[in-house]
Parts: sequence; structure tokens; C-alpha cells
Amino acid sequence: MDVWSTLNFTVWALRIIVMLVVIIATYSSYQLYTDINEAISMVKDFQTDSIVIKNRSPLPLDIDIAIEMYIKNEKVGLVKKRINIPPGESRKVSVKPEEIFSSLHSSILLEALFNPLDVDIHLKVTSRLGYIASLNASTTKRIRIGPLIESLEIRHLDLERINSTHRRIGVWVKVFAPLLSNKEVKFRLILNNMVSPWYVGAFDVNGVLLIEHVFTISSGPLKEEQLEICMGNTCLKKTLEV
Amino acid sequence: MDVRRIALGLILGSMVFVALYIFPIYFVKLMKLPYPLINDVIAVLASVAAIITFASFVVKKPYSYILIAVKSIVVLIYIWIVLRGGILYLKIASANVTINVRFILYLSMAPEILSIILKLARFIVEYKRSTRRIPKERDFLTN
Repeated sequence: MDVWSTLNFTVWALRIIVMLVVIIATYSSYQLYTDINEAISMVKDFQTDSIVIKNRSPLPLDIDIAIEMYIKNEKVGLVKKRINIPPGESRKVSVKPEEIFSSLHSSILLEALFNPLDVDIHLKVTSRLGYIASLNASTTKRIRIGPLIESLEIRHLDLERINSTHRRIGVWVKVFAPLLSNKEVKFRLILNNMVSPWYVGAFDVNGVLLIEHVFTISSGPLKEEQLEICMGNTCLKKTLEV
Repeated sequence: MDVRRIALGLILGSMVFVALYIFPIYFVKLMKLPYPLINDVIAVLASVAAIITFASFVVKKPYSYILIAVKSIVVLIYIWIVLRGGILYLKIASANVTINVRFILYLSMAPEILSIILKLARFIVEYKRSTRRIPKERDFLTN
């Protein structure tokens, strides 16, 4: 075989190798694309289920998920996730609504406690398949959040009459906000201008917050009852229906 | 004209057309890829590459090497157009997807670039060899 034939053979061998690499890369990129597409629709629809992304390529796969939240073009929250999937392995990916809401700025959350709020969600997904290919996907969706408090239950219990002018009354409030599970808040109750001390507590895993306080108030009908709730340094006062 | 070479040229030219046009179109449809191929442009480029492949078998050496180099240039343009310069923009539902495939692009182009260099070098070498003046007996006598 002369020099030219050897070189020609080398070029053809290179062509075949490149073709194989391109086929593997295209297949891996396509699989990655379908998984990412599913991830986007999952986040967009606020599904709580996680999806499984399998790295079918012989290269490590890195996925970055960034969810930015805007209200009137002002950034109010950010959730970031990074997932590394070694070759041939699978990882569960989930972005739960609770994670999104817990990243929102306290003032926004407080505003959304009792009122609906329009939030623009910018979702960006970046994935890198070694040096072979990288994929950026972005989408925007306007969602309405709130009222985050789905129900608020108040019970009053006349405990004892102290004298003709004063009585002791127990107030029990159950706040149900499933999207605020594990969120820590500071709160106090105001009843007939009597103010309870500040309590610090957190919504439980089911999103329930129980508030109990015994007031000593003057006899007569209950006039006004308020719940003051704070997240961070921001507070909100809500008048409750007695 | 050598019939065997014409037949070989026709077969390889057809194979090039199948590889550059029919296979990609079928592949995109089969895989249901959301990637729009520029059908008219790639049809033209695939046809040109197929015709040049056929011509390279008909034309005598060393000019056939020039044709093969030209075919590789056409294939380079084809790869560049199909992979949109290495950045693919897709719009799926309401999501904008950008896929960076520059590495695949450069990797696919490398053998073609090598082929161009190789064929041009071979053309130059063989052209020089063919045009070299062969000394005749009379030259020796006159000297």
C-alpha cells in the first residue's frame, strides 16, 4: 500500500469513527432533550411528581435548573438546583411548589397569604453532556399564587368569669396553608385591643399552624380580632371575622 | 469511456445522495425530531455532491482529485447548514431551546477538511508528475 492509499484509508477510518461518535452524541442529546422537555412541562404545570433522568451517554451529564420569579419585572425569588448524573446512572429530579414558594421574598409571601398574586416564572434549564453538547431551555409562565392560606378556623372558648367586669377567653386559630409547610413565622393575636405576646412557630409538614392564647378581656361582646403575622422583618395584620 | 467506472460512479453518486438527503429526512421523520431540516437547500447540496461524485469517476486523473476536493467542500457546507453553525434553536410549545453542538460540528468537519487537503496535495503531485517533460533521444544527440 502506497502513501496515498494509507492516507486515504486513514481519512475513511476517521470518517467512520466520527460518524459513530456523532450517532452516539445525537442519540444521547435526543434522549437528554426529551427528558429536559418533560422536566420543563413538569415544572410549568407544578406537578409534584419527580421525573427520572437517565444518562444514556458515556459522558457525565450536568443539569442546572434555575427558576426565577418576577412580579412586575422585579425579581422576587430564585430556586437553583444542580444535578450530576454519572454515565449510565439515573437520578430523580423534582422541583416542588413548596421549594418555589419558600424561595419567594417574605413580603411577597405575606401579600399572597390572603390575596391572589400574579407571578412570572422564568425557567431555565442548562445541561451539559461532557464536551459533546450543551442544551439551554427557557420558558416563561405567568401563574397566580395565593391566597396561600386555604382555610382559617377560629374558635373561642369562654374559660371563666373573673369578676363582673372581666373574663378569660381562650382563642384557638388553625391556619391551613399547605404551600407554606415548614415555614417559620412570628405571630400574635389581638382581641378587643388586648395584645398577646409574640409567638414563634412554624407551619408543620402538612401546612398547619395552630395558635392558642388565653386573653383576659372585659366582659361584653367580642369587638375586633386581628392576627398579626411576620416573616422575616415584614409583618401583616389581618382582621379576623369574630 | 470505461463503462465500469461509469457504473461505479453512478452507484457511489446515488449512495452519496441517499446518505445526504434521503437518510436525514427519513431519520428526522422516524425519530419525530422537532428539528426542521432546510429540505430545499440540502436537496440541492446533496444533488451537487452526488453529481460531483459521479463526475470524479468519469474525469481522468489527476483532475478527479480536484472534483473530490470540491465534493468535500460541498459536504462541509452541507454539514454547516444542517447543524446551523453549531447552535440549534428550537421552539417547542412555549419553551425556547438552544442546543450547542459545536463540538459535533467541528468533529464532523474534520475528516472532510483532511480529505480536501489530501486530494489537493495528490492533485498537485500527480499533475506535476504528468506534466514533467520526458527527455527524448534527440535531446541527448543535440547536446
